Amino acid sequence: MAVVYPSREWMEELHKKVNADEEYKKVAANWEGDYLCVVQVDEEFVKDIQNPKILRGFLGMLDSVPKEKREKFRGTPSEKMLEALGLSLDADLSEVNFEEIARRIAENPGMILETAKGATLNIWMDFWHGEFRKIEVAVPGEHEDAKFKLIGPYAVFKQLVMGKADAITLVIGGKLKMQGDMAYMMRNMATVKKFTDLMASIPIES
Amino acid sequence: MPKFLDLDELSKEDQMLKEEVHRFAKEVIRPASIELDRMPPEDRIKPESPYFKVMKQMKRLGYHRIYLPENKGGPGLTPLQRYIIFEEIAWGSLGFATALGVDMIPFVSAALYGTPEIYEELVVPWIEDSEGKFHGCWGVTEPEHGSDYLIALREEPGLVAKFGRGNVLAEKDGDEWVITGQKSAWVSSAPVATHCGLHAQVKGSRSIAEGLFCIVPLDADGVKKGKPSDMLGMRDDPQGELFFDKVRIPEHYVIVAPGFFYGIFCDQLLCLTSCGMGAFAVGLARACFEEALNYARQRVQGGVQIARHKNIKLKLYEMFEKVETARYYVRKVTEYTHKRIIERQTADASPRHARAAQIYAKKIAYEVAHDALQIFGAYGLSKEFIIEKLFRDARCMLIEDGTVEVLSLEAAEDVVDNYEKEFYDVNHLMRILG
Repeated sequence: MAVVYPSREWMEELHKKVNADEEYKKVAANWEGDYLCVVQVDEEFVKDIQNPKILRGFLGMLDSVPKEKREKFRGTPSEKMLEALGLSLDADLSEVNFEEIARRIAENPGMILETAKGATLNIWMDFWHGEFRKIEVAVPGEHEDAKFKLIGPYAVFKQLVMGKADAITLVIGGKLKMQGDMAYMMRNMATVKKFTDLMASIPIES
Repeated sequence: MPKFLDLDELSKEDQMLKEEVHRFAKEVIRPASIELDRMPPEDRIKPESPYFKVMKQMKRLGYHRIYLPENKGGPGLTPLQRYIIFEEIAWGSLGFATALGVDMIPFVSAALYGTPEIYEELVVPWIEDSEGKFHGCWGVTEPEHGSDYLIALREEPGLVAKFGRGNVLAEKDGDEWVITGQKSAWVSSAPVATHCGLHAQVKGSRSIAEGLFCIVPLDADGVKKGKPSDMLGMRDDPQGELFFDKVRIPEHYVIVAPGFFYGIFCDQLLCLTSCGMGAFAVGLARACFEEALNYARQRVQGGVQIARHKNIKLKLYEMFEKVETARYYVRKVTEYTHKRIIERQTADASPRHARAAQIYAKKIAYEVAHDALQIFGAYGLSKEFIIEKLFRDARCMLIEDGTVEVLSLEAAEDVVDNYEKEFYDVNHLMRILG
């Protein structure tokens, strides 16, 4: 079933898909370590969230962060972006008027983009010996010590998620920045490839 | 048809492919290569040159697409099938085999690692080309840096910095890159190429190891080509300089960005080209061996065929042994390497094994060519027999695409540091680019 990206449903589908894959279990049998994906807000993101479904998906992801942890967003570009959308960190982000907010964004996307400069959506994923243990939205400063950090604009992550380009291509081409133990990564390229192939196989609702 | 016992017991499909390519190599490539070899350099690149006729036919047969993965427009060949094509074409002519190999480098690299945008813009028209409109070349060697480029990723960073500044520099300017400098006179196919897969040092960086790989259309403003070089061998693939005077390319023409993964790319690309050079060397060695065997069976001295003379018989056996051992080692390495770079696309082939395939096959090709020419006696020194050309080509192989000495030193670093490791270790890249 197609899911919206970014959304909580997409995270759940990815989690389910990877853990159900026998081949992944085999190739990742020796893998130990987590990833922090830092998705930078860009023009494509602001364009996409003018679609109420995608906006709902994005806010649903933020809503999955417990309210006490959301405090970490205070003073960050992410909070400023929410404010520009007329929302607060304390709000129930899954129960807002998505159509109305999407319309407001469409009226002045330039202002939203300017306000959101530097905002990121951080997704943390933890893998251990063939098991995809956890996927969650990370707050600023959280999981900064992840074994690998993948940083790039939303438009580039979207290419990866939609299977339009693979991770190796994007990293080699400099579109995504990779930080971490590269020697370990290169020893386990088959695991990385399998994971990204599974991710790209999830149908994305447009 | 190529008649020899193939220990891989080829499938019917493989056998048919081998026969088809061999026929083309024998009937089209080899006669054209002899003609080109005897032409002055300037005439070889004229529109009426046999070079273009052969390249056009190779495009029509789709040989330029063989290294592309199936999902990127490739014909879905196995590593063995790719190897067979290369050995047979090189049997016909080392120059045309090299021309085919370097044609692929910019476009296959763009297909594997470029953006969807460049794939549509440059790779698709190249894939569909049946007229020989597009021709790639590989810009690595520079007037002041030949072997430097090969060893730069494995030497100590301090020493690499002493190699001096690259002769081609790339500088970012807004959404574009500006390329300035010169590649040396030995860039294969440069005089006839339309696009160059170019290695350039990033301006302001410490050494040539800190570079990028990009595609430069050779009709861009600021590109100039030198005169085709007059070389000892490989005369059937024109070689020449490339000059870049503030040439501007859009950002997406940079296929491999500066940084750690540029090192991975260079290391892995050399694995891929090593398999190709290995197959070329086997094809050339086999051509020399077969010429010598046929000649020795016909030539009579002392009242008997010279093939019955013990010294000649022994030489022929040693030549056979070298061709056979090289073929199956190169095939094995090709299978391992292609699986990792073309099929699984995990970019973790083994540099030391790939280099060994290239180095060993090049060395035996020269030894076999040398012994073959000796069997021909004075006839081998004349242009009456092709062995004279094959010998010159084999001598060039010890230098082109990396001298065997520097390739061996580079592979030796990998052997000494990583022999026991059952994976591709990248600590050398961490040291210099990490």
